Amino acid sequence: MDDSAISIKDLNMSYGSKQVLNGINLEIPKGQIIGYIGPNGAGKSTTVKILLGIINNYSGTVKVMGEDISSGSIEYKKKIGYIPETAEIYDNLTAREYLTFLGELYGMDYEDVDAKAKSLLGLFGIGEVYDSRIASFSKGMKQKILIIASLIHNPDVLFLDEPLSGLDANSVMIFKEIMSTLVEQGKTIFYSSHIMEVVEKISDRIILINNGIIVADGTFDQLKQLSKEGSLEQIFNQLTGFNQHKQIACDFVNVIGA
Amino acid sequence: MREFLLIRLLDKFAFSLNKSGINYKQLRMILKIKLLLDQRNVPTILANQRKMESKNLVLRSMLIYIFMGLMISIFVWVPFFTFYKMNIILGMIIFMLLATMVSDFSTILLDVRDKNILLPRPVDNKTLKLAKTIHVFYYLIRITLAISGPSLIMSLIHYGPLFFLIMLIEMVLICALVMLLTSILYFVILRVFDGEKLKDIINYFQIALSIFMAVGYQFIGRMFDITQISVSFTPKWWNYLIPTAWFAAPLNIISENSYSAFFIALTALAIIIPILALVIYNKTVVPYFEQNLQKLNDNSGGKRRDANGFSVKKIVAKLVCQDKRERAFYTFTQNMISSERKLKLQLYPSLALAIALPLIMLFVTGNHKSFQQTLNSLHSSSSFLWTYMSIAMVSVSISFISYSEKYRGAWIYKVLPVENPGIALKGAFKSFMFKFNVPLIGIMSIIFIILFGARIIPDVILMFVNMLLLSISFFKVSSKELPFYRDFQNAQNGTNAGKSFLLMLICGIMAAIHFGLKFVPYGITANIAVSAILTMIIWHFSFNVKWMDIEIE
Repeated sequence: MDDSAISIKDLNMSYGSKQVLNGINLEIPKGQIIGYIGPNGAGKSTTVKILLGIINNYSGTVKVMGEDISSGSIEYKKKIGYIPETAEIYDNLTAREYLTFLGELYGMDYEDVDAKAKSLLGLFGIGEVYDSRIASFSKGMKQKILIIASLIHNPDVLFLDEPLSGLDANSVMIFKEIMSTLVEQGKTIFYSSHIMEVVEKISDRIILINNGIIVADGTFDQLKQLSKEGSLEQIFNQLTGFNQHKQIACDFVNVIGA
Repeated sequence: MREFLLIRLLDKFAFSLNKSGINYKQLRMILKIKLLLDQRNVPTILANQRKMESKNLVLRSMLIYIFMGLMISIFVWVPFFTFYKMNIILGMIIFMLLATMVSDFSTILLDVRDKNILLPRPVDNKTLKLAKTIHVFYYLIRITLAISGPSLIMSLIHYGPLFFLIMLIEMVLICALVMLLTSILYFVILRVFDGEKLKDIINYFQIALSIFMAVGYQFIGRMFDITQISVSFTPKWWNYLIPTAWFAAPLNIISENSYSAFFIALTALAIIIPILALVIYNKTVVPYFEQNLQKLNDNSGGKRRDANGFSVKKIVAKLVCQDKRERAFYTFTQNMISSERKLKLQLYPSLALAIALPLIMLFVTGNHKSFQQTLNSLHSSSSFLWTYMSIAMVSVSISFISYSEKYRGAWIYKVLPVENPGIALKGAFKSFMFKFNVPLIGIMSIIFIILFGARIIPDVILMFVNMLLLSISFFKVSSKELPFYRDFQNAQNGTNAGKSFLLMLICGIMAAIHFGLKFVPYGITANIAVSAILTMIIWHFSFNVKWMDIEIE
């Protein structure tokens, strides 16, 4: 039995002539939170979309829970959950309609999903909107629906893309606690975000990609040794070769004042 | 909950579908959700109606399609050569189908959410594709039935069962053809342009459909004057290129009993081409789509022309708006109108109708006279006064500037340091006038001067001034709202409906006075002066608005 939750070998991907991923190699064991970071356009979302089976014209081998995903099998999808960065929801549906629909697609019984969804909404403090259309929800409420939708079938691997966006501080605390409890149970979380403070705190291991290749891979402490700097934000800046932030900020303020 | 008819029908095939490797349970769920979403989407054909939450939108739009179908079916009774007649009928049906497919089908075919919501779930490709195909065909068949149904029934009565049967088979073939044509259109657009452009082109189709509906209503009632056209038909080579000719040919063979090689060749085309189309569709178009859908969300290529350049628009803006902030609102309004798809969808058809109506009145009410006779009679008539219909319509349409899809962006008004909201209103009003009312009435005036001769120049000037007077008056009395402030969904024109009616009435009175003064020496000149002075006075008082008077939630 394979112990890896995710295993990526020589992953290459290009859009037309533009090479987005340049040979990614990754072994991720079960029961970890992986912080996946990189500047805009580095190839983060592309990696996640390949893992989810949304994009499939890549080259290389990708395995999720020991299963090669290129074979067109859908079995592995029962074991994964996904929170997309942009709120892609059929928002003309009510929360009940949307969540039961997804649950049933995972093969759950209607009554079972319905009960679970209802109590999960209640726990997030939005139980009263269970039968309202999602289009009328605030950003934070939509995010809670996305979180519930990604977890309702109790997946083994979670792909999260900015999962905290729009949540208030209390909900953020709840969700962080949910994540660490899930990981204790042996689940794997693939966490991509631009908020370095969060990634630094929650991740067991941090992977930094830039221009389609992995430039750093290790625990936060290991990453700190790689660089002279103290915080993940500074490490990020250094490893992506970005050091003019002071100059740009200075110019920016000058333009405003001119 | 009552199940959808389609789903109940499919349930009968559950066993055999499951056997062929389809996950029927999932198929059923996806279709159910899709149908539910359809019920809650507003179809283009209903876009002009308000307040329809909770009503069954699908049913309502079907009724309108059936009504359109009924109007088309009237042609079955017109005593024309069958080949001509069926060309017209099929042509209208194909046009309607194509336009609805392009405008509404886009939401089905190009739903990018599908990719992000359904693909990460354990749904296999085969099931998902079948669900999508069934959904699209269900939609197409439903609309085809509604639009062609009345014509089919009329044909059954008029021509008998064989004719009916062949026409029914043809409708199936036409469905296939429409499907392909729509896809090719998308195919080409997706290949050449990015997502934003595609959305624009879909928008133009929606506008074209609405205009066809609006102007079509006017025409069909008046169409029967043209029945005198003499019928002598000689086949021409280009007939082979017209799809409606293919489909009209077999029907002509049956009803006229003319088995000429020409008609038989056309009939062959009617069968071969749609089948060929379906094959091509499945082999090349479908796979291509799957790959390029992603483009829809891609807004990278959408560069506008450089706004910094030297342009006529900028000069006009400088001329009509002295105040800098007013000019900012002027430019802002023009930019908003030209990028708001929903606004255009409602505004452009009503403006097109405003232009078309006087012309229709002019030529179609011509009491069986020939075109040339109508033209000659214009030199002495006063029917250019129909322009007042246009004037009334363009003046009312000013109320559109309060609406926006992106009404949530209106928070900027509350944040900006503008002490006098009159500046915003003035800029927006001028902008609308110079973008639509002035050029439209201007063009109409020129057309009418050409048609009626130079003698009507004073009348045209008077009408132009009256248009200004009417527009500003309507603006003055209508509820004061900031531009792009209201959501289309809750657009309640209730408050302005009464005022619109009043405006129509005043416009009628203006037209009557205009007509009366034609018989008084210097009457027109005096009227121009009075209208101009009134306009200036009302203008002076219109923009003294305080924040308190503005309707803000």
